[in-house]
Amino acid sequence: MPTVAMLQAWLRTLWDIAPPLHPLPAADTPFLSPAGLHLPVGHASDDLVLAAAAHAGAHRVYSRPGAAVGALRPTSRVLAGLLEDARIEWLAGRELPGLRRLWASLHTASPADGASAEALLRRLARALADERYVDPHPWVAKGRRLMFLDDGQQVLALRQFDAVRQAASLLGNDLGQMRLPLDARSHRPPGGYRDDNRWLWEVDDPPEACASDTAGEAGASAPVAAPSPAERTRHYPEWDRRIACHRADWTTVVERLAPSVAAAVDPTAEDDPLRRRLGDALRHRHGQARHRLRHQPEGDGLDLEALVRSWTGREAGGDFDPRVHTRSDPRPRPADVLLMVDTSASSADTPRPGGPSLLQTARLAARLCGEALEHAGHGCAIQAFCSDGRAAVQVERVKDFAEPMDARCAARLAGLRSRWSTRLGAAIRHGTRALLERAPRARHLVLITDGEPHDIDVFEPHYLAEDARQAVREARRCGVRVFCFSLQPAGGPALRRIFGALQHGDIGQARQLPRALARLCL
Amino acid sequence: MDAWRIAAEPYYAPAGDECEAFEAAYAERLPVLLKGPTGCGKTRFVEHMAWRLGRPLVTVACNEDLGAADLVGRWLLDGGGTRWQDGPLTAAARGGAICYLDELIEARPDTTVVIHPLTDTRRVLPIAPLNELLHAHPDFALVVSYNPDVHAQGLKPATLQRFCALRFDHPPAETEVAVVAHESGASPELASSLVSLGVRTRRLRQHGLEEGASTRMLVRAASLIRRGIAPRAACRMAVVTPLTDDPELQQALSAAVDATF
Repeated sequence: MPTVAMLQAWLRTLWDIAPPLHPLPAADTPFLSPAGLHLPVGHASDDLVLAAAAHAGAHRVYSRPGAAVGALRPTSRVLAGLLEDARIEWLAGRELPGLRRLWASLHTASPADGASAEALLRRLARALADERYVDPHPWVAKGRRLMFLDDGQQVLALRQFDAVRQAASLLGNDLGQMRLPLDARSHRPPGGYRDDNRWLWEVDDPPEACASDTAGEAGASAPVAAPSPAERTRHYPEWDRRIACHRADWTTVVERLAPSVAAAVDPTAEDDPLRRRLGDALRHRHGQARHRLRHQPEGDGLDLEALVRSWTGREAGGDFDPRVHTRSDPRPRPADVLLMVDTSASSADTPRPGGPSLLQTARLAARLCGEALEHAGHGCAIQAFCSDGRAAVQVERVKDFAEPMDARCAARLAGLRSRWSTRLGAAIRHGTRALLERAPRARHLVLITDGEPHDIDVFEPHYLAEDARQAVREARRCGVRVFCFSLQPAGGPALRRIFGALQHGDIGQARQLPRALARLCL
Repeated sequence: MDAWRIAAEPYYAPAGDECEAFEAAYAERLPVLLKGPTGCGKTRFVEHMAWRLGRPLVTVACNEDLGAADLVGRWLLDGGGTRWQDGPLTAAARGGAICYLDELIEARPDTTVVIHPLTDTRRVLPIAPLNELLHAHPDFALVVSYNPDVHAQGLKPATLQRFCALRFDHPPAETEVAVVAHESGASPELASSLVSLGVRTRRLRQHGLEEGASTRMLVRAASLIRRGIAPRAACRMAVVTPLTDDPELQQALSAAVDATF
């Protein structure tokens, strides 16, 4: 049974197109809209669904939407749609003969259907789709002659839509002269898989389905009600470099849930290569991610201690224990990663005119990293931080470890605003604490920030940087590995001093993300 | 080393002047890096060049468990004690072969460090367990490949800067049709249908598939068809089923095969 995902992949292979697909209620005629292709997925036969998807896809590739109706009468308009359907199917079938076979198999009209206008339309549709179909009716034969230059239906006569219109007018006149009325309103496209061709014409009456679509979008763009803000206040010490000692309970961190804003985030297809590279960055583990197993029956090195033991065992008359090798263990070890996004006022800067702001880059980075980490089986949480003096360090929870990275988290990410200052030390201590509250496994804290720390109540240049450095040292002592993803290369030197050169990566451009993420050595 | 010599000319359709470029690099004994997607002809190119230059070729397909010891060699246990076994890189450096490390980046980081002294003017291979400094044979050359699309981190700059690099990609459609037709003996029409199928599958790269169908897969499909298998069944067997385990993608690729033939 074809699914939406399967059809999407299929259309991509056929024409390298990726229109959004929407399942239709049963018995509705497929249609195209600016929102994508509306197809009878789920309740029609496999062939019918495939044929409908390929036909609609062929429209997207070979037809132009929104033609002016002009003086075309309703009957001729239906005929123009029929000829256009045949034209695009012929064009698609030239490249993909299997599609032509599939479409032709769904046309079953025959002279036995009679000679009503509806029947003639079905017979013409079959005649144009299947060159081996024999139909004696002169009107059908005329349709064939108008469409193709040769009897074998190998050379197309109607190359442009204007030619299609003219031919449709001629055939429409003939129907009129034969006194065969066609009810254009109740007309259903032949074959059962073709769309209603509304898309080909400029909008005259807004169809209901479109109206319900826009209503749905309007509903989604209304702000999502923010859940009750559960506030939590914590106090942390701060390192004073002048006295080389901690000031107890010096900073106050207020943690609450980030407000949600309707995410205008599209499921950006262009991020796909990046997503894949992020996945690879997590999959190809190197260095510390591996550990060495000793006393193994096979492996790539000798475990000398085990070898000596086995040897002495044999000399003493026992069996030789063959477990004398060492081997590296490539098993994945799930880790917890907490991403903390700096939302201080400077994050509203746009480093390149017209480009994204630093906060937008940070949001995208957090979202992509969150998805990649979750996909790779790691735990991931996202928080944002900013500060308004030592008594008001704000931490907003975007995603908790237990939550999936879904639309709600995206809405909260979108709700982050640039304001106030950067008190890195307090944020690092808060993040460390959150990680230490989790079950003991590898813990990583990643700060996504645009520059060195500053706050309104600190005037000494290196005070906050030294405090942050101390906070990083304390975190590492507790087994939390601290990294920094820097949004601005200019912020590099200061951040490198705080975090260390190897625990620091530039992500000013999204394509740098995989390399930065690989540094975590998960 | 004679066991590693290539007897007959491996077919290779050059896309540009890569053969001359490789010959020049070999004449200077410069190590060469081949970049490009899976199955676009990198390995065949190296085989072809090894044959052209009349050198034995030692190929190592790297995987994530391949470590320095697998390349250099190791002590093995036998009845009386331990015995040294040269690894492929050591064997090639001693015997004057071309050593081809396929997908070097898959290997563990310690392997890249091992090749460093071989890739600069020193041309030596320190074999620590033997306490030996092996000077490479004058005919020895090193070739490595990697697929930058699949590996986010890339090789380390220290490694990359030691190599001259040639960029490979899927050949243009006409060349690929010629390759498929030559390798399988298929008719140009069949080869061209198969290549268009290959191009279609490559559109799913980055959209569920790690890689699209390689030229190699298309050649195999053509060979199956020549053996009397129906084209659609042959493509399912040689292309669709090996490419992915995802049922929806399988279905989509299958439908693409149906549409193509």
